[in-house]
Amino acid sequence: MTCVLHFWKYPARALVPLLLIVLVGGLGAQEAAPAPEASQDDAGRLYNPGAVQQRTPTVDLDNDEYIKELEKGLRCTCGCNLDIYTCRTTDFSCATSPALHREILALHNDGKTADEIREDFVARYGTEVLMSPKAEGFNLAGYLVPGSVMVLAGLLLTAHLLKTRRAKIPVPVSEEGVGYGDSVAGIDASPEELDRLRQELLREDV
Amino acid sequence: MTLLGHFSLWAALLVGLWGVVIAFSGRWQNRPDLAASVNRSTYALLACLVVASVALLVGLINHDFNIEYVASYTSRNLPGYFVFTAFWAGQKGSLLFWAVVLALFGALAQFLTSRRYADLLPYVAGVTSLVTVFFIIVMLFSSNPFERLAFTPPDGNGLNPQLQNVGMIIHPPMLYLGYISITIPFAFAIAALLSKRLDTGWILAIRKWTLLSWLFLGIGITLGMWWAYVELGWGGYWAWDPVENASFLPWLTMTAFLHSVMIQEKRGMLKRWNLGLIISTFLLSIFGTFITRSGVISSVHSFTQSSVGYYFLGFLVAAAVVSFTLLYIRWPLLKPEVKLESMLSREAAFLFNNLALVGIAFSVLWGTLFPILSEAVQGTKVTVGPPFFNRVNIPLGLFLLALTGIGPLIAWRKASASNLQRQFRWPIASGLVVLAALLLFGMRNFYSIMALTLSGFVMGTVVQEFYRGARARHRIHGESYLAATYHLFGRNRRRYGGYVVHVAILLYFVAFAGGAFRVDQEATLKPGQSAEITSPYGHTYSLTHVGVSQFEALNRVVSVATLEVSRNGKKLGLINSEKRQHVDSFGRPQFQPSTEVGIRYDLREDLYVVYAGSVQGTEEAVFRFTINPLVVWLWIGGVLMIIGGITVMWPSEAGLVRPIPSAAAERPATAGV
Amino acid sequence: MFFEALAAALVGLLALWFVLDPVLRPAPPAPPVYEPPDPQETPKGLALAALREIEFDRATGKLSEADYDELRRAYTAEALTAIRAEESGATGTDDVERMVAMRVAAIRGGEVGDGVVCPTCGPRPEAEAAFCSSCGRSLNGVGACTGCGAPLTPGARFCGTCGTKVAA
Repeated sequence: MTCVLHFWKYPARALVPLLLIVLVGGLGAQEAAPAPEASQDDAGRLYNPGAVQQRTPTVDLDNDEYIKELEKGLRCTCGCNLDIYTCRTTDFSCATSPALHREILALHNDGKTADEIREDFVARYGTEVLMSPKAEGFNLAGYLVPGSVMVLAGLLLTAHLLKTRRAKIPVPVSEEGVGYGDSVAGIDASPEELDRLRQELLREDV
Repeated sequence: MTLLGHFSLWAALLVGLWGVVIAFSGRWQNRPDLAASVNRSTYALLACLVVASVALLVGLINHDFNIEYVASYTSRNLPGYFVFTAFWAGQKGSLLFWAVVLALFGALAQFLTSRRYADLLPYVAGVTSLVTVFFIIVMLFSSNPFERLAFTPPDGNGLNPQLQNVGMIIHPPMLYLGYISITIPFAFAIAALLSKRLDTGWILAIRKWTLLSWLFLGIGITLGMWWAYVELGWGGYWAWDPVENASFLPWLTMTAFLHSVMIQEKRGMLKRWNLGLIISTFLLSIFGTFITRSGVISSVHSFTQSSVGYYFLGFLVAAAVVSFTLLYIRWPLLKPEVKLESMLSREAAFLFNNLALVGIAFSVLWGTLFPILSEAVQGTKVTVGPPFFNRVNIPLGLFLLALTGIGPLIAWRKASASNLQRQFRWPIASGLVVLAALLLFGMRNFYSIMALTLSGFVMGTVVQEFYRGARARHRIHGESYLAATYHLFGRNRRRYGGYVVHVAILLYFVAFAGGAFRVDQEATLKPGQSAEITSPYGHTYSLTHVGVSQFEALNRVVSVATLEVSRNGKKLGLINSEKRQHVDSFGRPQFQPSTEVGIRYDLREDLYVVYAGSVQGTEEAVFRFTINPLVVWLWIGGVLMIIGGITVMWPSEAGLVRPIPSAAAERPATAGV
Repeated sequence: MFFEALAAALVGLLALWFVLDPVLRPAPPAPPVYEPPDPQETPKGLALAALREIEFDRATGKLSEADYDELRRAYTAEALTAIRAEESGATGTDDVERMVAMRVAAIRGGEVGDGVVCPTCGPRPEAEAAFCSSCGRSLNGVGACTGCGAPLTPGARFCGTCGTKVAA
């Protein structure tokens, strides 16, 4: 009893059983001996149980992918704006999402399918319980407007570009190449001016 | 100190209004004394608001719980640095914070801008002061941080434990700095419209400001993700919550602006579009504030609901009407100077990039507002959650990522088929190599494969750009490749700093791609028991519950659950996750116990451990284990984004050197050329 | 409480004084301070930058020879036009000299020149001069632009800096 009471003061003591296990079990054999008789007594009460949320032990369905996916599509009604799965696995201060989770598990155990569970939730909590609205009626606008606006804008932009493009820059063009020798083809400039241009180009060129 | 604070707010209001009235009257155009007065009013406004802020800080530090704000957000046993953060933790304080920072930016804009734009500056002062005055009015008439209570409580309520985190010290101010600094480019845009100086001048004057606010927003958003990741305990970082969306929207439009403004600078096109983008960015930042503070749209992040939201709605509508009317009036003056030469030019690529960015912004805004729309149209409330946003935005995001790689490969003005082939060969090859590797390793998630393949393509583009640039300098100037790479940055910081940012964005996409492979599992363990979790890479983590220890800290009771971690039988070490029950100075519990997660960072995957709770008050504990592949690249990308952004903003040598002698006096040629 | 009220009053009065001072006691009008345009933003600077970029784009393989020639010719013409305009426009002075002269005048605070500015030679020391003592241009009716404060060329109908129409 005393040991347990002072356990929180000396966290290092918690390591002792583990170190023993490690030493006995060897490095390769992970958790070879979970020491059942020790865990029965040592999983004693916390010094200050109120400082931690109380939870029910995990059941297999908590980790079930099917349930997880279902819960990711349903919204927690506590006002947090998250889905049930995210809410019940976040910060753990919400009491609503674990309750909803239990409801879902109960419905699931009654043999209801995902669709039936969703319908059941909609009937009870309204359409807003679905994380994304059903694609019907006005909701279709929600799904289709962004995409169609984008496609439309893309087409308009392409059409505009094709219409207004101009291939040539209005400049006299000759067949000779351009070089800054004594003259530039198609351009009327004295050698001094070209020399000046060349120097300007070299300047500031880091 | 509330008298001083309160009075300073009134003085600020008076001074600000004077500046606004004189600035918009336009009388200063022939009266230099009035122009000087407008200029000085921005400094006086700042001074008054600084006095008010100091007054509030003094109240916070002295634990003057007679002040309602101090009592609501702090307590006697709150660690010192969190007392400072309480300044912006609550509604009222954050309004004051906003006002004082905006006044600071407004004064800096007056102080730092070249006299070349002297005929814009009083208008700029008018806009910044007007927005500041709006915030002061909200404080004075609705949400006064200096409000006193009828009695003095012995201790305050304390700060929400989730806000007692290092991330929360920096994240909100960064985001605020981003939101607030957008006002400066907006002010220049309005000033340009009012004064009819619609050449590229105003664009050059705000170059640094736009980058700065873009960078602040980016840092703020990334820090927000990081905070959500380390503090909220769900192992994710983005939930498409309205408030998150609200911070994302101005970032998107600002990113679009940063790209399209280059076309205006180089080619004189897109003037109307750019003005529209700046105005929209500002309006979206106000919209974000409205969403956060009104409670109109439910969100995890909202401040307590209050009437303040309606002030913001009114301001938002008024600002939108006035700005767009002004744009409409000046429409004929904003004709493009040249037409696009070719569909296959970088200008065209930028237009599509803008289309994608604005398209994403539109769809996010649409999704955020759709619940309201639905209630108005069909009378039923609907929820628009992550499934909706992911469906719409993932394809758009991938399109954008592809453009990130395509854009830099196409030349300005005009590109031809043969050089396109030459440009695209290696980047496409590098994308295909990534694709082949992914398929070989058995990855089958379509979007993740696309994201990683395109990332390979973009990386190929950036590497090729640096290599070819360095090679060109090597040939032209005879520099070594190392020196050439360095000089590439020197000569064109915007281009090459921009490429660094592209790599950062690519890393974000890599992290997003990893998100598809997240594995999580819940387990209840007694000390000594262990659980196993298999990562998507195929190896197995074994986690052994060591025990729970409890101790008391300054303002909380801490319960630490310790687990021993091994991977494929090889010991990696211990990992801790905490529950913190915060208490007031009388030892009475405050708030629900909060969670500190344990994270083992790794370049491949994070092991993320949460102590969810105890079974019947015993050491038997419920844990959540999550394996988050590639998340760490998000934070690496964030750091790279900062580096790239600063590189772009760094003053260029060419900009520092002022004009040099006329041609006659010039030396023949620069040495070494 | 008393000191706090005093401090509050002081803050208010100081702010008001600071803001209203320029209006109540107008300073003698300072000569316009000329700030030359950013060399990279002038027509010449832009054309030169474009030429450099074309050169670099060709070197990095982004431009075909045909495009290169065409673009280079276009921007060479633009650059030459800009250089010629610059040379004919401001002979004998350039931006830096003009700026320095005006700064000096501004620092001396009206002792010199008193706002008489020659469009080519900068502020003049003779306050009442009708002609420039350096180049002989008429200084009557020539002054600073009402829009941006830049000096005007005689006979100009629009300001060369900001495009504001000059009152006839």
